[in-house]
Amino acid sequence: MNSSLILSITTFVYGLAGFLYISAWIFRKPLPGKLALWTTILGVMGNLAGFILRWVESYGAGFGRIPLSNLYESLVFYAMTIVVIYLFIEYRHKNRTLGAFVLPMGFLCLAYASLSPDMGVQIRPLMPALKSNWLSVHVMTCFVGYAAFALAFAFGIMFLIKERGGKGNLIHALPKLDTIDELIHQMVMLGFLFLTMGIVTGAVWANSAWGRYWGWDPKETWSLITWFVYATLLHARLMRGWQGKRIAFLSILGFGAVIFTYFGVNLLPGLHSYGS
Amino acid sequence: MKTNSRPSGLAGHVWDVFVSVKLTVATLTLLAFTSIFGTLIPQNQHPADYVNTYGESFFRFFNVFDLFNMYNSWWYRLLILTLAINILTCSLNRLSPTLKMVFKRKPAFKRLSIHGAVDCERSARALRTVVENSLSQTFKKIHVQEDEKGFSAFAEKGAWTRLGFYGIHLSIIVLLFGALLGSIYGIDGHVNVPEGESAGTIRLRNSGAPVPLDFKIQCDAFNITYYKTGSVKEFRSSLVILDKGNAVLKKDIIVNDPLKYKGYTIYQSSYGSLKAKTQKLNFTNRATGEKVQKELTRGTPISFPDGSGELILKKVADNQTLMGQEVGQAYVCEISQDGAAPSEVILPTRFPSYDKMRKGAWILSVAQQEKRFYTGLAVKKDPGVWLVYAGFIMLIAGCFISFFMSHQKMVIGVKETPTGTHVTVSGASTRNRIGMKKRVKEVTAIFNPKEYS
Ligand code: HEM
Repeated sequence: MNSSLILSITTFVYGLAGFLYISAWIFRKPLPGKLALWTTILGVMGNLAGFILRWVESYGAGFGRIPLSNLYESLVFYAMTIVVIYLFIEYRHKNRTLGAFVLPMGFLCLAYASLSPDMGVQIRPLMPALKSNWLSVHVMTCFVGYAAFALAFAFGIMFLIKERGGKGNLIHALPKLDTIDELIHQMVMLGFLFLTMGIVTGAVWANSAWGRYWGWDPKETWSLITWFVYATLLHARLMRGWQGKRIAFLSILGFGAVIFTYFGVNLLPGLHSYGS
Repeated sequence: MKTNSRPSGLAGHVWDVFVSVKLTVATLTLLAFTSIFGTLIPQNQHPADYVNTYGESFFRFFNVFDLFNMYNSWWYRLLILTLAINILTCSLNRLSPTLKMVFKRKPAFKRLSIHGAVDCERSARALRTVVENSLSQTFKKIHVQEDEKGFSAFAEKGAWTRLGFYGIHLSIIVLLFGALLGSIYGIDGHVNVPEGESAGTIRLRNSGAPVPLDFKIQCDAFNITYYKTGSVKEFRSSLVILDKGNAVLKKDIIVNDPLKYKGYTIYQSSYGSLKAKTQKLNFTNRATGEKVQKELTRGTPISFPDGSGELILKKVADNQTLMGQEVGQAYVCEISQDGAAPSEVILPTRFPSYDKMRKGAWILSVAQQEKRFYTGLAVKKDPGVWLVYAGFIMLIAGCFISFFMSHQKMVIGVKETPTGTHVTVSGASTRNRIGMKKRVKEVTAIFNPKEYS
């Protein structure tokens, strides 16, 4: 049993949980909802076990390090954070239709990590510039922030569906519009706090490694762009008439910036200058 | 929030623009949007590269807007300046109401925005403890005001959390100020120090201008270690700081662990190997095995150990090809022996026995030299960095306070009526209005359980 096998299994557990949440929403029966919750809890435990086991395996390979240093490892952590935050919200709001929007994202995240052929599943040692405690804090805070933004995105979609949806049963089962709006706002605040911490710890790390806290490289700049977008959202809420639909749109746009910061930057000239 | 900071006349209209959140939203949107360009167009490259990539006319067009160094351009700075002024006026505008709310906490018994009311059969006197108990679940201190018809109770907490606003917004100013100080008074230099040597002058990264330090950096050793997989594990320079000739500080630096001295921070940044200062040749006698080493300089002939001939080093080739194979560095020499016509011999550094094939009396080989490294050090001074870090802390603390804490107030009024009492419950919260609504409902229900259960 190794970590990547556990994580592959977890992928399917998340997929099943997503399926159950969607069934619970469509058929509005309590049983699939309960099953979905327990499946999700099982999935999180698998996800955590995979994360910890990978950490242990790195010691076996002769260089212990927290598994947060490449795309594969960050996706594993990302999926886990998304689902953990979701569980907390389900516990607080007791509405399982939210799961139908969130669990598929956790599933996609791990599926991409487990199934994509060019993923760095191999455990590699860290290059000199990455050996810093700030790095672990940096990656963790960034991904908690991204996870909160992913949920804000899911709630944004939910808001738009509810808003234009009419009176059908499916629509009726979704939370009230101002509850969803409040959820979006809460997730954006959580995300903004953690993204801020992520940018700050990244700057402190860069300063300790290279003596500059900011260098306008594309990854840094895109995280700042994301930060500007969500700051815009937070202030737009203060303007008259900017609640609800437009905020939902902004939460979707903001998540676009997150995705670009995460994946898209690799397509641009001049990489996030790890090392060199 | 209207205050008397607003000047009159035209200045007043300008003031209105700068305190408005609309300007904030516009500026932030513009910053987000324009920042994208600098990530699509590589920054600070040679003009010729741009002309190559984009063609002459696009190059001109982009250049007008400083798109090749856009984060330092006048218009990007103007956007940031607008944001800064926006923050300052906005903060100033809110200052006096905020300070009043935080520091002059006089209980106000007015009804608050979220409210409920209920008629109760019990008397005002009987309700006094009920009211106080229900408030003391959330609040520490409760103020009560009595009048002839009944009483009102007021309680609040977390008024100070309104300062979170200043934490967030002034942190941006502090940060920008720190960055400005750094860009004016900072020094960003580089120096290469060969192992065993020292350096007292650095070169600026932007202009290449030399800057003398009032101390010297000596590199005792530079080492690279590798993982089993072959990738680099660590770069390590053993440095000594020499101040007026005295070794005052000794430290091994690695990439994430720099050395600090007299306001400068010295970072491990790069490395390289040095060309050997002298060239040496080994002469091995084929018959006796006798071995002699001789120093070489290009163009100056040296004689064989037994005087049987002469050798001249013509050049040191970086990458020599021998019999169709690249063999790396090689010495190209010319030998003339016993009056015979001079002939060329090639001595590849990495293959000391190659010259055996020539079948001469002496086998020539390049003496293996110990490889010497230099360490590349970034030497920096940034007098603004502590302000930037202070800004970071304020920003995070401010966000935490603003997002997860709130200023909450509740007012409960009890008025006697012919049939009992009329109770009004109201509350306000800067955050979590939903939670406050729930609380107001709960408290209202206490006074008339039937109606609300
Ligand atoms: C980079 C610049 C800025 C950042 C990062 C920033 C950040 C924030 C954050 C995180 C909040 C809390 C939002 C919430 O409570 O939901 C906030 C609130 C606010 N900001 Fe900004 N802000 C910036 C610039 C400005 C400027 C220029 C103004 C000037 C008008 C401004 C005015 C406000 C106001 C009025 C509030 C509401 C405060 C309250 O509810 O007590 N902000 N800002």
